[in-house]
Amino acid sequence: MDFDPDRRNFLAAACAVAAGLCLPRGAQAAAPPRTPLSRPLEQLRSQYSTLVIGSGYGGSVMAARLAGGGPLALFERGREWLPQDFPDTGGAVVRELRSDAAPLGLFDYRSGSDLDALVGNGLGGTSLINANVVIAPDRDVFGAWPAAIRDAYQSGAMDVHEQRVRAMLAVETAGASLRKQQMHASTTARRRRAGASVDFRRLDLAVNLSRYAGTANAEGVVQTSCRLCGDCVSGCRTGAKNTLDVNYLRAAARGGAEIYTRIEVGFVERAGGLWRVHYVARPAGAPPRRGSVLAARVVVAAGALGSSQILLRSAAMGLVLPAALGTRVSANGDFLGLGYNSAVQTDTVGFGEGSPRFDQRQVGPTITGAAQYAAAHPAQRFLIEEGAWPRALADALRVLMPATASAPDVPAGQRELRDIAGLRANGALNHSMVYLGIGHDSAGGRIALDATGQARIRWPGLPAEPFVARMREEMRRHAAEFGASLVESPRAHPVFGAALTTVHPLGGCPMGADAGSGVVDADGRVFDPRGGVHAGLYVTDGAVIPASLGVNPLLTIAALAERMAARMTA
Amino acid sequence: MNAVLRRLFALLLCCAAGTPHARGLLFDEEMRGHGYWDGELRTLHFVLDVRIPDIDRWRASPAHPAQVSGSLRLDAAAPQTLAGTLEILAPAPNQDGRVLVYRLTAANWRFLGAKLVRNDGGFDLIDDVTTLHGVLLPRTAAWPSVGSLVDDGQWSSEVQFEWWRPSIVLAFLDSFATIDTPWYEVPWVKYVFIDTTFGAVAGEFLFDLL
Repeated sequence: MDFDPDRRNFLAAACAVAAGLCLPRGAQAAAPPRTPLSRPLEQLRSQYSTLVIGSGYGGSVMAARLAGGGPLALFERGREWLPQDFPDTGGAVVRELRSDAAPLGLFDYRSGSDLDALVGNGLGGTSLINANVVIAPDRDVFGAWPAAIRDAYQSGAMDVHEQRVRAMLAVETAGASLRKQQMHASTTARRRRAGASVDFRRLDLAVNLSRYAGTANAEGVVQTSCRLCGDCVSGCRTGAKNTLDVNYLRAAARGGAEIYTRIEVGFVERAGGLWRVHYVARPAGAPPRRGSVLAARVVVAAGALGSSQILLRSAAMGLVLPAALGTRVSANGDFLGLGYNSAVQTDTVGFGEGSPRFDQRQVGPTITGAAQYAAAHPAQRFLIEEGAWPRALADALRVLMPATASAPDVPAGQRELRDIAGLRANGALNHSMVYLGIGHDSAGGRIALDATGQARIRWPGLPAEPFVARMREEMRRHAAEFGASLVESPRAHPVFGAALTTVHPLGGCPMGADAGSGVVDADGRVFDPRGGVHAGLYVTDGAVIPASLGVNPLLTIAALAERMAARMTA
Repeated sequence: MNAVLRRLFALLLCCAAGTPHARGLLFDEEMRGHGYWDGELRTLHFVLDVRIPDIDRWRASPAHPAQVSGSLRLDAAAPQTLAGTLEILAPAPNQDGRVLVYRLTAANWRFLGAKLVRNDGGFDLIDDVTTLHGVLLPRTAAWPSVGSLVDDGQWSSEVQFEWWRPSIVLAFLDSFATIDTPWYEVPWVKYVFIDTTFGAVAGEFLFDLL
């Protein structure tokens, strides 16, 4: 493996300086104050009963449910975010792109030869920058899964775990008065009348829309209600998103879990009957330092890319792992599109901490509804969800987008000119629809380490998978209903690499019946190809999902973690 | 001085005619766009006949109210007859700009819409006077406030007078006609209408520049 320690040292030293320069602007928002969860690194012990690596939906659930059963620590590679620290300008977003020089950056965008992936980096994982859609998969999509999971879904046994997650995440549904939702419902109805097998549905969200208005939530965190500003995916500066640091991670800390941020795990190795976990810590105001801790039980929950990366590095350091490691990688059938410059004002451009401009109404949470396409065969089903642009990206997009499309008539040209002039909010971008397609792919991708030891996805032939053409055509039709044209991600253009982008990377440590077909079993235990499992080593996050789900995966990841935790503690 | 001369001119004309007339004006307006109704965005096509029976009373009233009749077609359904009022460049809520307020009622619904003429974002006069933002409501619903449309953005319908289509503009210009007006007062009635409307618009856009 090309993972040069000298290079790592150099990069880590550079990161310490760069990270300090890249910290976001100071507090400006009126979000209620929060008590930090993370502890100083000086409190880190040398040994734990349980070590959880990662604080996304898998790791947070495991930490909350296993806390109290002996010393437990949770490591998060990013930093802890307070609401007012999230970026709200284009420059700040660029500075928060995670890189070797900025390892604490909020946005971990991994470009690959065929598929890019965007995930979050910080305490709470991707919950910090996702749209918080809580949706259950169809019960017949688990054909490639171990029988225990398939049976659990089909028998209704998983319903209990899903309900538990919904309760913890305080799920609500956005109202029907948002323009982008009305637009999407309308184009969906037109598609249905034209013969498509599709229905519109409003989606459950882990967003505090109305439950708490400056009052304490179930874990004692004071939350303001959502301002409908549309900035969910650049981080909620009002603290209205029910990110994992206001629910599961609070429960974990209350149960005694020690939470440490700025610790990136490199690999794990056997140390007698324990596991030694090697890490690089990046404390604030100090140079990075390497270290290791011992744990009887290690739960790897660093996401599809992160967990696969840790196990691939561990394998390179001598740990014997199944051949399926790095396989069954899915983009969850993600396909991004923009219905640009329709005749209808959609209000899809976030307005941040200010008020909506006079010619714009509230945007709403980033995603609130979906066109749900039915089919007898699960692989042919898909969703097209409506989205929004965060304010931080709006100014750049207003100027850049007119160059990508030619205005079909005078009003369309006027709208583009309004965007370029930047004087009003009723330009072409606010007459557009952001589309996130989610469906089913072949899970034919593969995660491998690049020369710097970073996980990258390789998936030749991905753009030719059937879901791509299916979604592209339906997005084009939705857009055309009110005169918009479909614009795809620049990365999808051959000039820029013809790569797709996923915000839901899955797999890499797939569940399987045995070491021949998977990396972990139905309980998240890592197979030992020599027989049985590696006692005390688990993977519990999106990495274990062996096939696309066809829906936003957070509920499934968290519910599976609830199930695994219940079985561990039974 | 100008006002005095105009009144004198009018007085002379009236005297010459001997018989008092209401001296009115009418014109047609056609607008197309989209509106949210019954859970879905629909295409809207308004064809309106605007009638000002008495130009002097119209001018004297700050709201400049006119009568409206016509039809609205939703999607491909048959057009529905409507009737109502149009306030032509009345003072906007909070005295910030001018508004053209349409209050229209049909068999099953009512429509409130407003065109806001306000010097707010560059020279967008044409957009302001041709873009109607409104709401379609059940016939029994209470009228929302005009402020909710123009200040709070609580509109769900957007229709436009398609000024970029020559046929639409020509039809609009050609539709202007006087009502119950002697031939020698026709220029005066049209002058009053133009003077009132252009004066209101100029008050919004030009005076700020001077």
